[in-house]
Amino acid sequence: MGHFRRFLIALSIPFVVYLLFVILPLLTSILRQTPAHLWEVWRTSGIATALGLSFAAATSAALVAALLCIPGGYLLARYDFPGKNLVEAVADLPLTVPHTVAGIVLLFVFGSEGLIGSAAERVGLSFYSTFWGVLIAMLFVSAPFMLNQAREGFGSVPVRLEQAARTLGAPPAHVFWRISLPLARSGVLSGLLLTWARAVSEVGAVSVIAYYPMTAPVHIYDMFQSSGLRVSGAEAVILLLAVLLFFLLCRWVIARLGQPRTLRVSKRWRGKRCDDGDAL
Amino acid sequence: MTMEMPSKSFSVPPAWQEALPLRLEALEVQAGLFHLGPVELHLQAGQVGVLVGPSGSGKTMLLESVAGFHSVAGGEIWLGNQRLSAQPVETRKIGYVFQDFALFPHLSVRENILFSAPYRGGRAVYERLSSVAALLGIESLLERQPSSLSGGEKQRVALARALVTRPRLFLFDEPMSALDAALQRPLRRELRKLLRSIGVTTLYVTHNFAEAQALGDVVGVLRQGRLEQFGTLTELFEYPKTPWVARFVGMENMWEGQVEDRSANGVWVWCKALGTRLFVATEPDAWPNGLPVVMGIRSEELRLVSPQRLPYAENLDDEVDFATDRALFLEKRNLVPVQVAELLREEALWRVSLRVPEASGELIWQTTIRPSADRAFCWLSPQQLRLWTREEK
Repeated sequence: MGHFRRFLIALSIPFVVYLLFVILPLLTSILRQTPAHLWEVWRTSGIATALGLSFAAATSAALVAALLCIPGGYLLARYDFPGKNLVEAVADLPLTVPHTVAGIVLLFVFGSEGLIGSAAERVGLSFYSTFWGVLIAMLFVSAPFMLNQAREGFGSVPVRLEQAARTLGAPPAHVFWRISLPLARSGVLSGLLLTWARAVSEVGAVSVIAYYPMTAPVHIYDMFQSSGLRVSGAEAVILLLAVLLFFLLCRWVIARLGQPRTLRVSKRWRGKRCDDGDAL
Repeated sequence: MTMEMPSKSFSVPPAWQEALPLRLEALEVQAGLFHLGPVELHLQAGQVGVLVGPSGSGKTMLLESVAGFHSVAGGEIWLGNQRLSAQPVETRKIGYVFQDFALFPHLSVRENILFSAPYRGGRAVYERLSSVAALLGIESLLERQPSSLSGGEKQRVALARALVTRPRLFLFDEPMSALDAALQRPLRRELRKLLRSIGVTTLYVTHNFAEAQALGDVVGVLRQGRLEQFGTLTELFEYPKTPWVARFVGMENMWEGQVEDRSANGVWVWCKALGTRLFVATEPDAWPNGLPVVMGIRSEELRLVSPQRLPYAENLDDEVDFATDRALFLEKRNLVPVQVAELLREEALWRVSLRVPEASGELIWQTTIRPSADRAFCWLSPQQLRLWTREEK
């Protein structure tokens, strides 16, 4: 026991150091603010609008990423094909590119001279300094998270179950909707969350394509550059609290959605079995 | 004292449709480095065919190929007059019971059983639910989640899920191997009764030969992706086609030998391990002199004769009861002097290991009577000795 306790303590010490490293800056920045000052900044600095834009764009980006990457995740989890490694490397590329570079690269395609940008401008859609630009930048840097999480989610679904569904008469598309996707949902949902988190925190790519309208992180950076820590510090705390709240909400929703119903039902059943046991 | 047994046996439903014959014609499947086939296998309508073989022999793969999980590299699969090999899995109308049952963990037992409703008869599936649930004794489980079920319960649910679709062909992949041994035997009986009564053509995979004996009308023995032998149980036991099959169906006494001489109704084979020549009743023309052979005899076919009684062999009716063998016995052919080396009680039988003092060989004898003497003669009936040609390495 003594050995084991010492081992646990040895594991805990570095972990506590890490936790302090995360918590200390957050805590001090929050404690530095007074509620009155936060309220003042919230009303006057424009962070509220920026935050709204950030959340709207990040949510849209996460949903678009889900549409584009869930099928890909399934394909990568289930099938081997020549060049699969290359495809995976390309799909992960946005993770490895510096984000300012990502923004610049995107401008070549979505800028007014770009292949898609010029075509879009003809129908009155511009990516430069618009909501759509923010969306594109966020999507580019965050979609790989969706892809990888979805792939892992689908990978954890036994092929046996899909085969069983097919022997019961379900065509492949039905198998996907009725078996694979529901069983991969915890992976897919955590992918959505990670994608959203990555998207909402993006500065580099967003500021290259669409510095205006300012998203919250860009707004905070801008404030920091122009007027120092007083306002930007308060804005940072506001962003932190908003994201924290959103994350807690999401985790709660996922916990309800992502858990198989087994947990609830089996508890009820356990009670029942005890009754039966008594009867016998 | 009265004992009330839990009423868990299957009640017998009527046959629900005309059964169809299954024909695998030169079926070949390639998966990675493993090659299966060509397999030629015919099941009559309503027959239960059991595939046995050691692990890695390809029996599960063969079953999966019939289900359609592997693309066929050659040959055809026919069910009645339908070419299964040209159909996707979902239209083959098969009932597949998996080794791990493959119940959908996110659906309740009821939802699992009704999964096929949109594809296999809609309302009819709902209507069949209660009768199938009653048949398998799982009415009380319908609202439960699969994760809360015991192994035996899961198996019943998996069976119910396949049964409500009224499959034209049943495929079982080692459905008993995940269950306790104590549970297996009664379930085997119930399953046999069920399969007989519904009369659906069935292909059943197992590595357990006892299970094959209990369930199968015909048995196929697979080895390294090839069907070594396919036939009735009697054929398999009495006339195993190769020494490997013989060993697989439980022939324990096998030795290498060489044909030395031939007579009108058999051949003489020199057996080095037993230090003697043995007479084997067979068609002599197929066995030229000098041919290297493998010979074998089932352990329950051995006879032990005590040396004191040997001179009076005429009176040994109780020990040698084959009239045809008697003449040969009286000539004192095929008598091997042995010593009892080891005695093992196995259920109702004695397993006796016999050593041949003058040679290296060993014989296994199964008997209901404990041998009385340590030294005796073992008699190998020429009718029961089997002979195969030995492949030169």
